Amino acid sequence: MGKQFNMKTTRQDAASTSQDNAPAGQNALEMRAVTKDYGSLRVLHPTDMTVGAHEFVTLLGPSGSGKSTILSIAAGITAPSGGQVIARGVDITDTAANARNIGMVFQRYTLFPNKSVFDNVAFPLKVRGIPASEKKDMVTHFLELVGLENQAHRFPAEISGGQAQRVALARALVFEPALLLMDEPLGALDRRLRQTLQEEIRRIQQETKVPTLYVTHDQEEAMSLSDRVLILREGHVVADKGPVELYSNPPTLWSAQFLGDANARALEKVFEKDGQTWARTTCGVESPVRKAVEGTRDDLVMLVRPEDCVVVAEGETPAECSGDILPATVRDVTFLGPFRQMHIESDGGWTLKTLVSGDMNLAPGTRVSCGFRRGRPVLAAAD
Amino acid sequence: MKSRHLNILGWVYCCLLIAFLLFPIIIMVPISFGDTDTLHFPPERLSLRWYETVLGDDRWLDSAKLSLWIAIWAAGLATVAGLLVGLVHMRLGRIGVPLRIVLMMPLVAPNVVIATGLFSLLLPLGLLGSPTSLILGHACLAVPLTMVIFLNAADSLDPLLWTAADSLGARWPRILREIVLPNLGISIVAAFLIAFITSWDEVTLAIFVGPIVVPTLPSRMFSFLTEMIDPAVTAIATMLIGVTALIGLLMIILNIVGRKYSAARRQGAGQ
Repeated sequence: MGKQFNMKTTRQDAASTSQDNAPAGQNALEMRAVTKDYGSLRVLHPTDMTVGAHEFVTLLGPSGSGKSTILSIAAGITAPSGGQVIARGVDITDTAANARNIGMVFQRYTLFPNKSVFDNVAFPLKVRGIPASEKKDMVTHFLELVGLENQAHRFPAEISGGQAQRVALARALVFEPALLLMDEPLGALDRRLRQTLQEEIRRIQQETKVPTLYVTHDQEEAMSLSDRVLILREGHVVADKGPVELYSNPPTLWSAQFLGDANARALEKVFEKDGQTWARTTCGVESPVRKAVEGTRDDLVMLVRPEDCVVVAEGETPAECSGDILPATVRDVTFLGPFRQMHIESDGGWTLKTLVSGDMNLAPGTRVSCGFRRGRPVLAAAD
Repeated sequence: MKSRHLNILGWVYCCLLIAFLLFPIIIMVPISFGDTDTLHFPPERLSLRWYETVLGDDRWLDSAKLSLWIAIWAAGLATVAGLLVGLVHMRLGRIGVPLRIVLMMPLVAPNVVIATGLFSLLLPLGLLGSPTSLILGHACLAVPLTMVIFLNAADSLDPLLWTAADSLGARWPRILREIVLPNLGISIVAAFLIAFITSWDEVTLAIFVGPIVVPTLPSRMFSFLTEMIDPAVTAIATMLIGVTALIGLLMIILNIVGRKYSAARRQGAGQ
């Protein structure tokens, strides 16, 4: 990427201000009580959210959860039914999409088929009246950033899907947008390519520091890319945290299970012992727990991630565990390469999904002992 | 094996059909190169006599010129009208089947009925016999055809391209000029050609409401034929066939180019 690129000269020509001109700490995007109704159907309930100056924020949710609606309101493609959209302190609720200075990458390949890769990337600069020589430098710089400087002369029909999305990313970044919006940009690619591009998107975002709002339904993608993840469910934001925090302290059972597998059990009681909070499940398992949310016994469940269940042969003691050790029987085993996923049924009648090392080969019916890793079980809202 | 037999049968059927449909047309060509005063097939001696007659006759040339202008204008109007329908379909929401059927009406309405209606409408307005009236009439006949072409073209063009260009800061005139029109280029040419042909060989409207002193070429041929049979007509017919065949050939080339283009585009989309 070597070449040092100076954008100073072009800044005054660009249609809108570049992000560096904004006062420090001002949000690239802020939504205040934004709603969206289609007739009597409310697809987005009053939503407050922000994207910080250099932040990578992901909207995660199943289809129909309202995540694309938020993105589309941010882009100016859809008008909100209520509330305010603010960018760097300026109300842009009624500003047209083409005046918002926002770069956008879509799930479908939206390169202009009649233009070469170079001309596609140059398009937003042409719109902004950037002189040809600067335009060439900028386009080349951003094609280098996505590793496609050799494909500049090609047409969209002549490049692969992964390359097309890289070009789309370069095109969305080349005019130094105030905000980058990405709507499931990797949705149409195969798994392998998705992982490669995830890493690249993260690298490019960190290099350009462009504030990014990213929509996906893929939990891994959300966790690996984001500074912050917003989980959406039926038009409500149900969680808004950093990925690590969110994964280990999910506010609700639903969020926990949307982010990954989680064993859950209703509670018989919550009590204090040795200065720690303990919980006793309806199947009689007692364990010290972390309490991420407030609530009474009836609203809460105990959550244990499969990787936090330590399984050993009967008679041995699971290491690094606290609380009860469950005697259990192996029900089924699925080989996943580095891991085996194993369902075990405790004698108390709790069927747990566990994740054990790939070389641990236990036949169904084997007796085992299972403990929960110290500090891992957590209480979350039942819904 | 079965499909191969079917394939052969298919080709035989096509050849017979073409022979049946085209024989009367093709037979005009050798007759036009004869030198006798009556229609004679096969011609005994070849000559360009009838071509000289026609090309030396201002009445035929004026009619041809008029037909050409009317066809160009009608095709232009029909292309723009069809393009607008396509743009509405792409930008403002899909045009459903019921509305499509209504828009297709001019295609199924008998031309004689349209012509009679136009006649009684234009007569009191004093617009009968004006080339403008005929241009508008021909454009109306061609709109369903151009519309179908543009609806299909709009379907094959991702509406997100517009949204993408919009998000990159472009306003609609630029989006139209740089993104939409270039990608619809093949359809624009195809629509223009098909509308051109529609007007170029249209007789009914031309006779009822078209210019009278200098009629369009098909109209003059028709009135000429009602009076006499003259090999000059076969010379004109041959030239008309030439023009039509040329346009047909252009359409086929466009079709092949277009299909290659969209196939490449699909491949590029990684599907």
